[in-house]
Amino acid sequence: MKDRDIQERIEKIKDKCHFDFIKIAFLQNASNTYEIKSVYGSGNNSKRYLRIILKTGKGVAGQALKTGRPVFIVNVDEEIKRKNFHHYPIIMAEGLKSIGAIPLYEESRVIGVVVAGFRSYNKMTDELIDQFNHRVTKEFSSLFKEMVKK
Amino acid sequence: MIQISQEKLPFILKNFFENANEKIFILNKIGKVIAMNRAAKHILTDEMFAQMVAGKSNAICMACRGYTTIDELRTCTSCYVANSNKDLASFQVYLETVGKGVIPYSASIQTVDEENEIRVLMLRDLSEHIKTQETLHQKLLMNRVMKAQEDERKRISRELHDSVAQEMLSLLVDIRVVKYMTKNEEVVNKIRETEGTLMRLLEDIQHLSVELRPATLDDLGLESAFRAHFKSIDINYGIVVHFQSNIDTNRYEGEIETAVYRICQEAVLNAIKYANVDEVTVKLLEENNQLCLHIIDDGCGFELENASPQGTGLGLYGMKERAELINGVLSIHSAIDKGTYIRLVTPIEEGGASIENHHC
Repeated sequence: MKDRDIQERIEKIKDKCHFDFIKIAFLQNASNTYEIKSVYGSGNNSKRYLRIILKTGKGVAGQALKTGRPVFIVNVDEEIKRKNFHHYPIIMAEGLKSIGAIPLYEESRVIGVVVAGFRSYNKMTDELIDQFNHRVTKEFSSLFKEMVKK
Repeated sequence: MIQISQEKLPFILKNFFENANEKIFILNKIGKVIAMNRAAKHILTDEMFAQMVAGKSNAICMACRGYTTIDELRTCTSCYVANSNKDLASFQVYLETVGKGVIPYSASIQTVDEENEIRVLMLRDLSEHIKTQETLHQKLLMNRVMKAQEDERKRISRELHDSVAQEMLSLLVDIRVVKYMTKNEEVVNKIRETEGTLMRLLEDIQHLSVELRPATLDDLGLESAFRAHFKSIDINYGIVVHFQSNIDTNRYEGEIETAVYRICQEAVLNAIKYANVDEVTVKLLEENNQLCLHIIDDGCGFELENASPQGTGLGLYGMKERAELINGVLSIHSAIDKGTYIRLVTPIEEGGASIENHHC
């Protein structure tokens, strides 16, 4: 799959769901280091998200990677204590207030994650979560194998 | 004994009674206050004073909140006033004091006139003294806690690094060997997956070990430890730390290295947490037998005075404590929207650069 394709696909999801920010991170197999990194994103304030190497269990994306299930935080201030904010790098870097992460599978293995969010509170509603999940499945489900091989 | 003329003595005693800083109460045998000096009046409320003047027995109990025994901090058991044949040269008593609340006094009670059972209760304000002692005690405790924490972190970090991670590494090698033992593609793919998971786990453990206490700090010194730490900040938070140093591979005493490392770690973490910045500048410079650490960010800053801490509020305190431990001076400059500048200056011994580190 071409780079432009992935970029276009995540932008499409962002537009359809009206997200303020979206990024996709997946296994970077090229250097044989098995790092999970973001390569594509849209609506970003800074390039910090591109430098971050995801760690399983850390942050919203990390939790999705670890559990293999979608993770949502509807209101960041209510659900995360201020002193624990630094455990959520992407929320800090992009100033997100409502956020969700959906894991990407290749066969039975999690190999990446799509993270999207809003810079205002309580926007990640149940309906939107369903829509987000549906869009991610539609755009990416058939393509992971190809992406990982790259 | 120096002789004082009999005419002068009452005059001097009267002056002493009136002007002494000690609070003096004179009690009769039923505990009635028959006289008190000016200092004593000052600690009483008007109401208490009026009642004492009115001659209520055991009037002192209105202000007294108990005295300290080996069993209790404040007790009325075998009261020093009621127990009239008891002379106590020194004990600690708590009194309700105007404007200060309940505070501790060092007290003495003694019989000065056996015939009429007149006793004198003298009080000296102990609150400053106790505060000093508490601060000292707290500092000592803090230092010990920090040392214990550092030692324990070092132990666990070493254990993870030397034993757990090593075992996992040999496991990884084994798995790679297995990969070449079969041509079955399905098996090879599964092994590759396991290999990937294992590598991530190994990285996590190494990361944990470094986070607890970087072995680099003990083995290679401050500059290397900082470079490794800032690299991990880059990949964890996407924040770039611009690091300048002129110390090269110089080594310092273990305590200095630990304190400088921890202070910098805390300061940079604070910048990450609260300053809302994408980059931080750290300078580590050795000049004129001093080691200077500068941490600068141009973030949102904070009010130094009456700042209500967003976190536990212990971070800055801990940094200062650590600085004091190594005779260093920590200064913090910050203002809203003006960024934050933290500087640590610590003396290093002459030729300290050549000191071998005996940490490991």
